[in-house]
Amino acid sequence: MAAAGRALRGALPAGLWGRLAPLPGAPRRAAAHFAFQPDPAPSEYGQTQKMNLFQSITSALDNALAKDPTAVIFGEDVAFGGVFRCTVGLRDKYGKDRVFNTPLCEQGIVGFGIGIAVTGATAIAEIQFADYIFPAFDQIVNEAAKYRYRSGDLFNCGSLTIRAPWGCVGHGALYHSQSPEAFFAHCPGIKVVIPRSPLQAKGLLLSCIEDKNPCIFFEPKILYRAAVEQVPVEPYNIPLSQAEVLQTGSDVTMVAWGTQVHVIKEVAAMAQEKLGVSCEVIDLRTILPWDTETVCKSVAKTGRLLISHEAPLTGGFASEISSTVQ
Amino acid sequence: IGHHSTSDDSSAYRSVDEVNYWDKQDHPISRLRHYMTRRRWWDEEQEKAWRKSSRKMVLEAFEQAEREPKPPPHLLFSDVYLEMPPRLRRQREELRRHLETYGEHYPLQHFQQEPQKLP
Repeated sequence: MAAAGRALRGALPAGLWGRLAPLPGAPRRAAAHFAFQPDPAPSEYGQTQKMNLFQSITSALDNALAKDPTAVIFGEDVAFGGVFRCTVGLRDKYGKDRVFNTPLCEQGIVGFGIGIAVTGATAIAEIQFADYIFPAFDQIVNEAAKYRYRSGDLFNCGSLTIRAPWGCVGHGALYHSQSPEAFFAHCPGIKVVIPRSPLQAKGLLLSCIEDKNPCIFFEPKILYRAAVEQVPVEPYNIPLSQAEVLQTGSDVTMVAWGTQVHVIKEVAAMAQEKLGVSCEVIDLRTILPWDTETVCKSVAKTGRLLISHEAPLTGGFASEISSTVQ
Repeated sequence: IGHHSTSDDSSAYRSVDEVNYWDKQDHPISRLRHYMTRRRWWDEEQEKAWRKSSRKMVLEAFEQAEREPKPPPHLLFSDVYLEMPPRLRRQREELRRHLETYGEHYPLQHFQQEPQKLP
């Protein structure tokens, strides 16, 4: 599997990791396999505040419920604030009719969400871990994704957004670490989005909530506390289906999403320092529908493509990207 | 006696009084202890000694476990299927070669050594 053995957390003394730092002057890691580099605060969206990833999610949800009187948030344990604190304070602020718990039933969470969305209200469903999304797979693929299509656009569940913590966290093992984006990439009718940082997450989540198609928003759980940035307090949108070139280069194009973007950024720096290789780094951001134009344009320039993701290698989303580019 | 899990705050659905009742008056383990003490099958001395030796047992097991090296990396690929398909075998080999070249970047000293020949 890709990235085998690399995600290690736990009580390792800081000195041990210091010995492993590959570059002099490179940021010192704690126990994670990468160091989060914050992006500069944007100036065009007004006042900003220091937020970590889960706080930026709370902020986006707060904005959404304030703006849209039909918006509701539901899932397991969201009422008290959520197992990752993404919904802290929202039930107090917006009431128990708008932020409420569901039974332990993912199929029901999504099915119910589809129903709300079909009435025209904005449904924001939470699946407690992406690893648990599979009971809802039929609802997502056979109902949500095909609702508009099968009715010839008479009906739709476009105001449904499903959020789930995603990706490795070091101690997650089989059922708290998965990256299932490839399963959903094979399903026309839904959108799949994965942010790399708090700033990206708030803008992308708001876009998903406002997008008129059912969206799945995966949140890299290892970044919930570890990623801290200056994030605008007011709502703002980051467009879907647009990849972002984080640094330009001439020798190789490197594509990643979510947590792995930060690993790739470090790799690019190491490649430049040790091999004199100039890397172009792209954060894909939206997995479905993905920005083929930006990636292909980049590879046409550099001639080489490297894609890195946490999910298993066989059938992983890298296979879709590489076969398209070929 | 505690919450259901680290993400639970049980005061949201049960009163502190109820918890205390079960803890102080109706705790099944406490009741058993009182029963055994009245029958003179147990006493304070034995209680003290047992707690001490239990604690020692647990801490020793803990320390022993912490000293154990983690399973070798090649076991990542075991038991996915009953028989290992060629593609997984290749991936396992790629990882082995990767660690041979770049092992310094990994905390390999916490893991068991890879055997020379992989099954």
